[in-house]
Amino acid sequence: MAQDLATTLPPSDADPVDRRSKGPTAKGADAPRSREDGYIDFYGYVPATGGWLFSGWSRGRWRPGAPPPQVTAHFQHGKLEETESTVCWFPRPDLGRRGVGIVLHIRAPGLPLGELSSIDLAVSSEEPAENPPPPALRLQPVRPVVHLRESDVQSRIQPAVANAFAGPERSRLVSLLSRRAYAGIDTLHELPAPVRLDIDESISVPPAGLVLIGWCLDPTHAVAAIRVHGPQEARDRGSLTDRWISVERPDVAEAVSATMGQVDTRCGFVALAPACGVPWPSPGGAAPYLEVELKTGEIGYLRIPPPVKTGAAAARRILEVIHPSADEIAPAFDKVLGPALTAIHKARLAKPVKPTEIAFGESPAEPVCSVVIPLYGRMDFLTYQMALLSEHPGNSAHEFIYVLDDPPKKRELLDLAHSAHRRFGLPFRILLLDTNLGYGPANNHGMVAARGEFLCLLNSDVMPSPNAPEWLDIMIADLREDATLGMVGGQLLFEDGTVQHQGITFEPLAQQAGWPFPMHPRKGLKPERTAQALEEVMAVTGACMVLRRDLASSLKGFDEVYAIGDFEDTDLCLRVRSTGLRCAVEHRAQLYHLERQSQITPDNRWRHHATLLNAWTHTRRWFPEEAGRSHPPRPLLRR
Amino acid sequence: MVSEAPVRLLMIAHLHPAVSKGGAEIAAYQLYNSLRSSPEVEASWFLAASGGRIAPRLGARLSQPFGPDEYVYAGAGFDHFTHSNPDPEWPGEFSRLLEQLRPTVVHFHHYTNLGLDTLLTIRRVLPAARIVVTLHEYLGICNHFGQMVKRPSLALCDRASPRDCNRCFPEKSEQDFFLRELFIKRFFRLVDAFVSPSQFLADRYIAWGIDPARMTVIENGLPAPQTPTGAVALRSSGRPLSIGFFGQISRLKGIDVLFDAAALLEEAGFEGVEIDVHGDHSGQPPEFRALFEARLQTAAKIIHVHGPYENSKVHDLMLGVDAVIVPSIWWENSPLVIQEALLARRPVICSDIGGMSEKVRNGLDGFHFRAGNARSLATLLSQLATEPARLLNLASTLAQPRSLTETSAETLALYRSLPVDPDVGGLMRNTPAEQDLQPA
Repeated sequence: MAQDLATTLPPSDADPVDRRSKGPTAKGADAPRSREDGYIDFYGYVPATGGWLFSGWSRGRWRPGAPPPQVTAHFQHGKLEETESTVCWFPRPDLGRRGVGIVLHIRAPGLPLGELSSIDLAVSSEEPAENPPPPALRLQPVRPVVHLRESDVQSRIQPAVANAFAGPERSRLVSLLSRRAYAGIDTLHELPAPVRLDIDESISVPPAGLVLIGWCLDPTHAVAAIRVHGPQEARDRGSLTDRWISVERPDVAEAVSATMGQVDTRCGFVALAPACGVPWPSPGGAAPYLEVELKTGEIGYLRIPPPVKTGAAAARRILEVIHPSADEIAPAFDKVLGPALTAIHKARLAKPVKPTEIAFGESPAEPVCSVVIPLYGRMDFLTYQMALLSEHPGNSAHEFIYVLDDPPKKRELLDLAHSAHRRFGLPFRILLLDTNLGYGPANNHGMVAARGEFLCLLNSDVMPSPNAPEWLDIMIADLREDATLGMVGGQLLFEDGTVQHQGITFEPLAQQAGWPFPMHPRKGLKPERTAQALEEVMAVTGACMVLRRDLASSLKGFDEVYAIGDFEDTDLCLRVRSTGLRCAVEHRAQLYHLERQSQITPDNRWRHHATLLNAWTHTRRWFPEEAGRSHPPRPLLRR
Repeated sequence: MVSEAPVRLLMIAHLHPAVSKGGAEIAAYQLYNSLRSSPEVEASWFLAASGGRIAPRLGARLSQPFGPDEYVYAGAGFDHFTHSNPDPEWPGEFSRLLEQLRPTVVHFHHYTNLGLDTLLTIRRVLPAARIVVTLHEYLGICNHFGQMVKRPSLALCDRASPRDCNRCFPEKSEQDFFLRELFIKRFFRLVDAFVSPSQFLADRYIAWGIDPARMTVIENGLPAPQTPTGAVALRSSGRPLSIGFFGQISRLKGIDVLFDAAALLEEAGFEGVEIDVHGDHSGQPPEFRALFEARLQTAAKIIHVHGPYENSKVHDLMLGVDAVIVPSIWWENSPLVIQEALLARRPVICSDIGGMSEKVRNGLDGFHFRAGNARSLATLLSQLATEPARLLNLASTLAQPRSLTETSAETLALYRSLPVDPDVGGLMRNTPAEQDLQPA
């Protein structure tokens, strides 16, 4: 019997072994062994198997029935460990009783690890020990090391596996070796299980990875793992389903109902394959592909369509497809949406932008305050603002900088601006951005162009009230009088005179992952008579805020990590406060704010999800204790 | 301090009466000519917008087709929502004209086509000039042609608000209406004096936010008639009562109420009234024209439609009827036709609302019926036909209409009353009080 050829090794270190070693020892390895455990004759990476194959011999076999050994492969530049491995033994009559043939497979990407140093087989322990026991077997490569190409490894290892002692490990290796490598064609339909999977769209989100949007049906639960392979293999080799959001796809359920019967309508997915396939296409032209592995070992491949959308279109595509319930929001953002959307957003803003400046009239050379007003959507607000701001003679001491964040509206804006300047006489400048950047970056561009001692960030739909034409002068006076004051906000009213904003608090919203959202106390109610005009608050809205320009510059303005336009204002306030300065709202500085009415409707769900992205970022930065929680409905940070 | 210096007047109208026969431009031009003849007026000019009816000179905004003291402005793109004029060339060109003419009073008789923003140009170029605005309709308050009737029902409207206005014009948001109000009031704050031809209209503007101290009621005056004024008299006894309708034939002028009342009278077999309709419907929207023309086919026999007339003939035409009817279903301001009727010594039968009920005292100058109510009108007409003495008895109480000379004198007195900052001797003045107006 083959078993007689070699000692059967115990699954423990009780085996009295001679620790003297004959072969070279890997750096940092244990003390030299007194006797040889075995050698690796050749090895190589075989993509079709999804890992590395090693063949050689060892002085004994693992005792049948014992837990499989924990395998670690040490290379010059790293090691493969804590990963799925398969080991089986085969007879080597040539070795007599000295040893027995061994074949190992380690599932791992084909990383450039350099030359093999050794392979350790250790008794697996449930709990990681502080000082792990020395390996039961340490196999060293024969010298010179034989690192073979894929096809050679496969052909040379086939006979050994065919000859190996029967058992589940051998079956597994046979199955692995029978796999065909990905050849650029889809083989998913050949799988012996009713697995349906399709990728509608891929979006490259470097450096986070690759976002896949599609659907997957696996009614018999046959799938063991879904992986993405790319030109640059990721070290994170987890299944794609670890970073996966299920989404509603009633259209798919409807379409397959004839052949598959009733299926889960939540069969759609948005998944993030980390750090593979970027950039796309890779310099060699190789494209990432999807691998579906069944529990029975078979493998099927699926091509991934090349990414088409980038930037805002890509972000919107992702944001439109998701519809997480309250309890799903946090994991969805942690695993997929947060890293992916942040990567898209950063890539969008990475392109250098040089605004074009057009002056209408001569702004003061040394303005007291620079008022920065981004324009998006409605251009005619400029006409109204200039008409109303021109009424207060004091405004001629300030400069007004409009930032066009809506490039297609350039012609309309310039016509309006020309007319408004001629009619109302108040000078202003316009910065034209050639791409839509969002609220924060648009303001920051305005800030760069600002020359005033103070900076006022103003929304285009905020209008001065005849009750307080000197609103800006009041807010500036507040900052001059109190050096501990960092930021002053206006009291903003709706057109019916009720409060739109008079300071912000934060409250965790149970329906929004429990993340703290800015709240506007007394919103919609008539303003109360306040004892003092200046009231300290947690934060003020960016719709109308005034601060010293040098402070704004030292804080680098709005943090551009926030997309489109929200949370950057409270973030700035919290950063001002973290410098030790205070934020306050000035009740005498009354202005009207024509708050957008239907910002979030079912039609623009993506906009709501963009807000969630910002909330995710804001929460992780300012309320880390809330970030990992699902339902913490307790008020916090109230004054 | 009240100004003693001679007046240099620039009168402004939205159209020139040489090419447009509307009441406002005629009133403006008559007043201009009357003031021009006053020894207290040192110099005077008339500026009207072309309204697309006078071809501009290429590249120029101003032209003088009507004489050395009359100017026509040709600009396009007027914004009727905010009554503003986005023409970027106008402020500069108008500034040069103002610097050349240096008026001490600029009187807008209507701001359409020129734009409310033109008021700011005046204030910037001539800070000391007094700005007077005569109000026409409820244009500042109401986006529905300033009529203050709902759209599309034409129900009477008492007060504008962003919410209510948005219901009439769903295509404009509440915020748009709020901006409109902020915008209009910002320029209204530049006005030294508003002139309203009726107390009713003045009250509507005061309720909307105009400072009452800056509001003056001056009725539009009429030039003396060419033909002698008739006495209040029925044409001859035994004949049916003759009622005359004069003016634009439109829904708001109440033509349907009149036709409905006639139909009711005919149904009742009442033959004591004849109704003569003088006026034009050719300028109305096509839908109305079609409806009206269809209506003519089935109209009661007591209605006689005579078609358009020359305004110079209105006096004679009115002498041919026993009473004049003004059945408007909107508030009106101070309808010219009432003045004309009083000048012809004809009692007026009118709707009991707004400027009509103010100008026609019930039982003294004529009689009221419930606005928009054909049955009320039919009842009134049948009663008057049965008791013609009720009309005859008005001879002693019928008001005399305001003459152009009186209006002109009142207007001049208003100019004189406007305070001039003594520190700058009438050349400069402080910016006008800015806190008077507050959005509702």
